[in-house]
Amino acid sequence: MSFWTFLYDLFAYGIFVFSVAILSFYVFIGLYSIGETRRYMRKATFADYNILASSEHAPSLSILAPAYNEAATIVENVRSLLNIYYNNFEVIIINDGSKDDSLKKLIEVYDLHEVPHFTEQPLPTKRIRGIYRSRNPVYKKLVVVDKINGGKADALNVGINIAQNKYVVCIDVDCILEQDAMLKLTKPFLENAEARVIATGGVVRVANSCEVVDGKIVKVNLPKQFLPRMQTLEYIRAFLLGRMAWKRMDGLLLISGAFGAFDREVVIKVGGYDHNTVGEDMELVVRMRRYMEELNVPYEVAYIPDPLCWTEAPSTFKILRRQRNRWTRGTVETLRMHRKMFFNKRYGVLGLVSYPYWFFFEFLAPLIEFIGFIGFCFFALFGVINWPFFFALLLFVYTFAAAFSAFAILMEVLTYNQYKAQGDIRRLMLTALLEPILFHPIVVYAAVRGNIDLIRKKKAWGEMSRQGFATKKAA
Amino acid sequence: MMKFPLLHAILGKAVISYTWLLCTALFFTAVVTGLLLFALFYLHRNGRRQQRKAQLLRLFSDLVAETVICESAEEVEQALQQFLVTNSNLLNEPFPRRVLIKEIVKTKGDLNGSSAENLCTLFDKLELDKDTLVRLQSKEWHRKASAIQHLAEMKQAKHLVKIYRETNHANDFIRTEAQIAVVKLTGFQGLRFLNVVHRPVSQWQQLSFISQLQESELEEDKIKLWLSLKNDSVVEFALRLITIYKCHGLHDEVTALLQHSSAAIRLQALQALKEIGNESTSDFLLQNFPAASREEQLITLDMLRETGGSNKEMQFLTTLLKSDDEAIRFRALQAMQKLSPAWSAVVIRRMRDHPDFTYILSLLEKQAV
Repeated sequence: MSFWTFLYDLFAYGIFVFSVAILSFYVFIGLYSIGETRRYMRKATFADYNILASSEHAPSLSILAPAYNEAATIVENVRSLLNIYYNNFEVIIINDGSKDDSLKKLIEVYDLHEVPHFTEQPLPTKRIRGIYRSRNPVYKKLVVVDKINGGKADALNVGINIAQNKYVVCIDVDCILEQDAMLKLTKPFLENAEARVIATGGVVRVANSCEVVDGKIVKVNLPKQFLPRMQTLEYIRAFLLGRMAWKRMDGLLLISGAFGAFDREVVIKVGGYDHNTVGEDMELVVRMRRYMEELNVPYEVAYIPDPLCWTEAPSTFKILRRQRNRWTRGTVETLRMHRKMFFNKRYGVLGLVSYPYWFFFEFLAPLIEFIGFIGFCFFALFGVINWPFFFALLLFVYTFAAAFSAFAILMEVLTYNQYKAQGDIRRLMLTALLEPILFHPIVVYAAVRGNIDLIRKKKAWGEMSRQGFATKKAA
Repeated sequence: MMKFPLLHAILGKAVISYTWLLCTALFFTAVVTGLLLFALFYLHRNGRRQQRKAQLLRLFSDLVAETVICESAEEVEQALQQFLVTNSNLLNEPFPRRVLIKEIVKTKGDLNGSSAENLCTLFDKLELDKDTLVRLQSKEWHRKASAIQHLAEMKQAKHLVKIYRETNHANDFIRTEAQIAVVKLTGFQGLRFLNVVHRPVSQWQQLSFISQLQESELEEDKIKLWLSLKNDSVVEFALRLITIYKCHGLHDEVTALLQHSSAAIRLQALQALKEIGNESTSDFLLQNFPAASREEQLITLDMLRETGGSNKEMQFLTTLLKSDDEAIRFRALQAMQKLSPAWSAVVIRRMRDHPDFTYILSLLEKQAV
């Protein structure tokens, strides 16, 4: 066997084994999620949130929303946050050195004035310029912090330092929350009497094309634009299948930065959000879990599949590429920081399943796919491709991807069934057929670029300009 | 063409063949089609079901609305008979009965007083408890749990024994619902299972119990007993009751818990002392201070700010100004300022040039303004 033959075989063997592993894992995730989803849906048939909604003894929450140059929407977003159903909460808006007039607008509309406030700094952050509260008792739950720009992680750490309550809920200020979002997000913290619930993650859904009135989603529509619709399907797959399966395995490593609740004490003990990564949301969860595992204390990371938080998904290729590039860098940075966990049995499911999964199938998969594609071009050039076999393999992979998406759509129909308009499900199915050809390559490309940027030590978050929701005022 | 025997063997023949790939692709295509068809079929069926449910709800909401405004059981009976004149067969089918039960329970949850009682009467007259008991016998945990919830909401005390049996059920949800139901039906007396419960009582259960209790039912002897149990969650719950209902008679028992091994209990004991504190509380707090955790120390200082003022306490607060912890120094000064402005003025004059106090003093000055 010549060297080149060996190399060729190694390449082919490697890709073959990898492909079998990844497809098997997807099948496993799809099937394994069913049990958890069914359990949650059954529980929801008799869940009573009234106790939490009305009780003055409900646990206290601090909702942290970092804002950077959000002047266009910040007043409405804050109003929407102040109107959520819950009793014991405060809303902390952290103005992360915005260059626009966000702070001025908030001061004017909410009648804010600067207050002297003793701020402990268990988490080191950039300097706080001022803390503002409203003179109007209607807005007594609102706290606005003005600070020097330091990025999202730094802003959230400031919020955690200032928070007065037991649990902190970290959200993106431009997200739209369902009115009962906090009730549902808080309940898991109270239910487990045998293990400490250190975090609860919620579902994020795509809000493009939805009807928004006074900061509330009043009608859910399937996005009309191509990219948001693709992402809708992607989010359904990730949140309804992936995370439910990981929750069941107790191996959840990621709570979306757009919407998650955390035990403040544990967050402070682990040192808060890390400034050195653009994937600060995943990194924090991994660090918190690692801390609890090392302490050997029973704990849980909870997850609820109800659609509670709606966000605007990127609708241009440029913004999407930036977002995915950042996600990739965040993933790799987190994996690198916590490489000690890799196949480390001390960390149980996290070390033996979750971390390897993220390493092989989230970090390596796009790279292998890309290398496979280059290899394919190279072999095609040399005429060594068995074309009938290639097309059969391509068809196999394509139909598998479509079947997996179709399964996710079915789960959506059987559970929350958000897309009720005539033909929505057929359109989603069509999306499932187009996605592997039209959308997936973009994601792979962005991931590869993310890795290259990481090697180049690029740290930028990337501008994430949004179009904004088409909002209406209530009549 | 170059020859790569291994690859050919793996991909071409030995492991997966061309035909196998095509067959599997065909299978996946069938799966996609099947899933799509099933989803559409489900949507269609569910749509019809929802339509039927909406129709029924329209009918039942009239009955429920009329029942709510009745002034006696006889009027409820009349309203029901009127309804049955036009819908006599409707309530013989299980689906409409289920819809009606849910509607009654849901409406009852938002009401109290005679309107709520009327709904319970309607529930009894239609013998909807029988349907609920069938669900209680179900092997599906969620059906059982929801049946327990419905029986409790509709004040079906006659089925208390059946519900009580489930208070030790292995399933968390059934057990929790049964315990809440017992408290809902029998009030404070229903908490007697706390004397013997070994499993931890979750915060959720505690909140649910509290929402069902009334101050007049409280028995301090029982709470005292719970304070001495080994189940930490029961002790915590007892402390919560003391905090909420201000059980001054249990002051000494609560102070004893300041040295408990559980941090959650110590914190809850401090919260309770905030409400039931008396002239001896400060002594306990001062004694306990050195051994307390930082969080407990900060709460203690907040409490001293409200209740302290004696010479001993002022001296104690002054000693805390030597602490390395800025938050402790700040709260000590804040307490001093509130309790004795004259004392704090002397202390502040002494500290003015000390760099450790620059930030704290400027903040206190601003707060005073």
